Amino acid sequence: MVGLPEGRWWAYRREDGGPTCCRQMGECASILHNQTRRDERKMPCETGQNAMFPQNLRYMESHEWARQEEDVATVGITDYAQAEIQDIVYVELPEVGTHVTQKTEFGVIESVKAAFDLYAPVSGEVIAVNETLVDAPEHVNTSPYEDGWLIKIRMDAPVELEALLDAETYQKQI
Amino acid sequence: MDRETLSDGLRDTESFAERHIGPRNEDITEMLAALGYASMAAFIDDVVPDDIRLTSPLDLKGGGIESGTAILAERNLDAGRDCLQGMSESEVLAALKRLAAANLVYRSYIGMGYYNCIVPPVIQRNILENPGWYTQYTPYQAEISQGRLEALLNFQTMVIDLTGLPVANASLLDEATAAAEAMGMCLAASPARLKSASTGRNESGIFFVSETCHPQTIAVLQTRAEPLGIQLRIGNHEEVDFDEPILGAIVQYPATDGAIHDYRGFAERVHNAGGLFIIAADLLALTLLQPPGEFGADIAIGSAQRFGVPLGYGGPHAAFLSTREEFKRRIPGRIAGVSHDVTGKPAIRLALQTREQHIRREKATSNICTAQVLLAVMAGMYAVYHGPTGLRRIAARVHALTCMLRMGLEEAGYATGDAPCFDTLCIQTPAAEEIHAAARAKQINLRPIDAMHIGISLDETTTAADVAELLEIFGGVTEPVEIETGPARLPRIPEEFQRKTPYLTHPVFNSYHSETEMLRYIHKLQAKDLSLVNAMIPLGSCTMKLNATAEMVPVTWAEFSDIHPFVPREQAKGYHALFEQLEAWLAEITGYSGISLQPNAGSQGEYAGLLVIRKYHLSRGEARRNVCLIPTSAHGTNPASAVMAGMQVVVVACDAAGNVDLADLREKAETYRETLAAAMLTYPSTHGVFEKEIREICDIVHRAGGQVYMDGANLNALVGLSRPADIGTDVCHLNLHKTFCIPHGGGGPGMGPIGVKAHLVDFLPTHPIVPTRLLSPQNGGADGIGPVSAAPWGSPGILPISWAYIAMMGADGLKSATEVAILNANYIAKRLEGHYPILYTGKNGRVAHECIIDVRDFKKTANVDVTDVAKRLMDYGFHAPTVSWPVLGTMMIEPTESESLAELERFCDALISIREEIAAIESGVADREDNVLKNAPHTVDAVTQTVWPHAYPREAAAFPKPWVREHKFWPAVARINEVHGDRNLVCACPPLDAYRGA
Ligand SMILES: Cc1ncc(COP(=O)(O)O)c(C=O)c1O
Repeated sequence: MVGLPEGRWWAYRREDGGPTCCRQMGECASILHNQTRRDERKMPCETGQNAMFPQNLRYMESHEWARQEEDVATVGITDYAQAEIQDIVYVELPEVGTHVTQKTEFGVIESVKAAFDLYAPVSGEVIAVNETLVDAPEHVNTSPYEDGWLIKIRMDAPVELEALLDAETYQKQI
Repeated sequence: MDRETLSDGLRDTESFAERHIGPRNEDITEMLAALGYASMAAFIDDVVPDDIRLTSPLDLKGGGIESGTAILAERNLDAGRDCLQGMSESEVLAALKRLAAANLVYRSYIGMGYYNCIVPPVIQRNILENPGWYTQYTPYQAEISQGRLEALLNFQTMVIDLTGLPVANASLLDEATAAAEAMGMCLAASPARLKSASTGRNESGIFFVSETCHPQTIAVLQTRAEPLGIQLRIGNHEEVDFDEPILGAIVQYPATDGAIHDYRGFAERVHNAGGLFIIAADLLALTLLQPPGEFGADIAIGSAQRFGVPLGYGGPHAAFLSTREEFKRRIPGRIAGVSHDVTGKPAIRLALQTREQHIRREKATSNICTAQVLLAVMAGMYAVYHGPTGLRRIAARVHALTCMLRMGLEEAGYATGDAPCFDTLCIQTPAAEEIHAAARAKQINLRPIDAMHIGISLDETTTAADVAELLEIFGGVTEPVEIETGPARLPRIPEEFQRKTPYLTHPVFNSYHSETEMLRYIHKLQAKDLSLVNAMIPLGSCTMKLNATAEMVPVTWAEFSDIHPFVPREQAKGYHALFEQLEAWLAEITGYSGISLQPNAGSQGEYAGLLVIRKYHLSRGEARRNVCLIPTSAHGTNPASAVMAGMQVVVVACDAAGNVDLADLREKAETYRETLAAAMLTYPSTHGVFEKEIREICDIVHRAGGQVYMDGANLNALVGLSRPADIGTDVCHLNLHKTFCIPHGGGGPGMGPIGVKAHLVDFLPTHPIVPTRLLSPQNGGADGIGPVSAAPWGSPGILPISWAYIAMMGADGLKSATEVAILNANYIAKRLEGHYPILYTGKNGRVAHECIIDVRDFKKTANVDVTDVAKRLMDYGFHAPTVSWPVLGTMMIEPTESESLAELERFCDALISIREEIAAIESGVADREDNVLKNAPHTVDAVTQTVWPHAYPREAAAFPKPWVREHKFWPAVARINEVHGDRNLVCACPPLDAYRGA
């Protein structure tokens, strides 16, 4: 298992007396869904269908994806990440007009058990945020690549996308 | 008669230690034998590392601080006598009676956020004095905490209604820290924060504080602002001009001098300057005054003390915080929220827990954890009992009496200002000294504002005769004034300030106004809460030991409970003797040179201790030292406190055994040798293990110029065996609500005093109103960090509990308690080891005072996770251990010394039986979805439904063991839907029809 990128943090709700937190995805994964889920989810990847990681997207090690349409990138989190953190109850997103920088935080996503930061795959101005998530954050779970998109960024430099992972590399690192 | 013989002769029948400690002597022998030991000494030698062992017994007579005992001797209060042996329950009550008698209960009109009140006896006896309400921990297992959660929802509803803001939390530690928390929210909400975080937080922004806030609030804000780089502007809200953007502003309503200001214009100016507007409000006044939410407040905070919570010389009391919808995720502390269970029945739980700040560790803006649940419950019940009409009547009466006093004073020629008032007057006089003297002669305390001004605050207990007496003191009238019925003559609150909107319209506030109804309501709720009166609560890291009745009895004695925190010290001699002695004992137990009793919870202790360390480095010209090393295994409050103390958190890894990774620690200590301020360690570790290398860890930190902070949450494994100071740590907090028997109150009160080594004593917390220095010269001088709590000694009202515990246990008893706590944990580990993997052990495969069982594998083998096991324990009548902390997916069990062998066996039997139920799933005998674990807990409704839909029998669901047949604690609701509650936050009482048909 690959560790989370430096600076990323995961926090978990402790059910009886306080919180806990870990930085290693290994730890998170084994505990949040107790190993089995990882085994289950391997299957589609191994059969090569790649259903969960569309080829036309670019990925971050921290599990965000970006889809380019001209100079605009739509951003979300991957199917793998949504399954990791389970039932999402809240997404905190920046205001339209905010400038975000590649690999820095732009928001927070919370489930009943965990909260984690969101990192921008590219730099640029936020031109849209997915307002439907205010009332229906579960869209991120049910449709991570479509209805559950998070923000749209007008990119400062679309070449930044090239530094991101392709579906295959991303899939290998999870 | 020879004393020795006398006390020896009495010991057998009167030893309190034998009451406090669960296992009988013969049980202890049996348990030791089961673990393979012939004696307790041999067992302890095997568990606790040699190089940290205390070699001589604790000397609890003198301790490091002599003066407390001296005062006792002088007043012939020989309370410290023989405490090496431990007093009996009747002796300790007699000793405390003598201490109590040294406190003088004057009539106080001091105000400043603390008011006399009438604790309704039905609430005092059935909640404050009732272990069915005060022994629980925070309501993490919501299905068996519905009573307390409903009471907290009432509290929130009351705050929401009275402040006119839609979201409220269920309590903060005191009004001053609530103000500081609100300031933290402003910082978190400001876009500037992100920028300043990257530049090291030297300049976080400007925060305005009205000079007519209570002075202790201003002082706590100063303490809190400085390390965060917030610039406080203290001034007159009418005159201040904001020429640059601000984070926010806080004003008092009514002001500390009693004036009711029109803040509407000011609110607009604050908003125009980009700030949030905070109002520190008085709940009783709000029954008559326009609520803050109606004139621009973004946040309201305050104390709920005067809603039926005793003064207690400063605490414990619950503070509240309410805010606009927009900021609900930035609220510090806990929120009770409505969700529903799997059957659709409404159910309450702690909501938005991942929002809780300390969970966010180094990203936190608050560290609050243990709060003031018991006191919030009391305040909410006060509102339930009086209802809107009753509260308005109380407030109107206080106001009418204040107006009478004002008129009388004005007729006598005193100026009391022009502003309208509610219950407080600021009286101008050139003869303040004489008036105070005249008052004192009548055993009355007034508020000394300055040489020219005297403050008077009236309250629920004030009568017309009191007003007459006050007027007499001011030389106004010599004859008592007549109260006119129908006070047409009295001025009213001016129209523009009057409250127009209704409040407390919910049926819960309009149904229980006779004592019989109230009594039954309280007991109905109590019956939904599992507490220590029902079963052990084996929560790891929480130390759910006995809260002995003898320890609790003095809490409600008037000599302890009816003293205002700011009375002249001569009136609190009994308290001060108690503080001195307690400090001396805690100093001896920990090995430190100085103790501060000010912090109100473990989290506040951490914060205070780190500020002390920071101040120490500053005093040595080493301002650059701001890095705090914290192991990954630390409790979330540790990094949260470090951030609040202006430190930069650097995380240290833990090895596979759960111990601090020495190589990583060395490397980080080296990397940050120029900037290292402190390291925070928990000992024994949060994994419940005595780390062998603790001395070396301290050395590494010291060599790099850092100080060692010890989180004392696990002190119950050390008392009498080892001392934090001797191990090499410099500062430590003690959770008196864990190790020293203050009950958890269902989520507070707590107390988190800190101990420090000699080089840090000068920096201990101080207080702006009552010098903490006078009686304890070593405690907090001019170099002190300022106050971290509103009251100088935190929550004195509950300190007699810890005092009584230590006095009754004596040195021997305390040591035995620790030994048995460790024995109990190891016995459980031994009994469970064949059934569940035990994670992390130390020397010789032993655990300290708690043990972690691993249930993660069952997900794979049986589709069972840790929550299923926790909920299934409810069917057996038990509260789950700590779930998913410090290791996710596991359970941490801490039995404490107070649980008997029989109870340990019952608990282990339950867990073993659950293991068998899991085995049945593994082998295919039971269904992977429809089984006793997945459907747990089973309610009465569930097992009495006409058609039983499950694959297993009803008996297996509800009566898995004979003891539940004999006596069953039924969960009030079935498993609660957590996701629904977090997606839809409802933090006020839902309309009644929500419960119909469910
Ligand atoms: C290890 C540890 N540290 C700190 C704390 C915080 O203490 P408090 O809740 O008194 O603020 C806790 C409380 O559960 C704890 O277990």
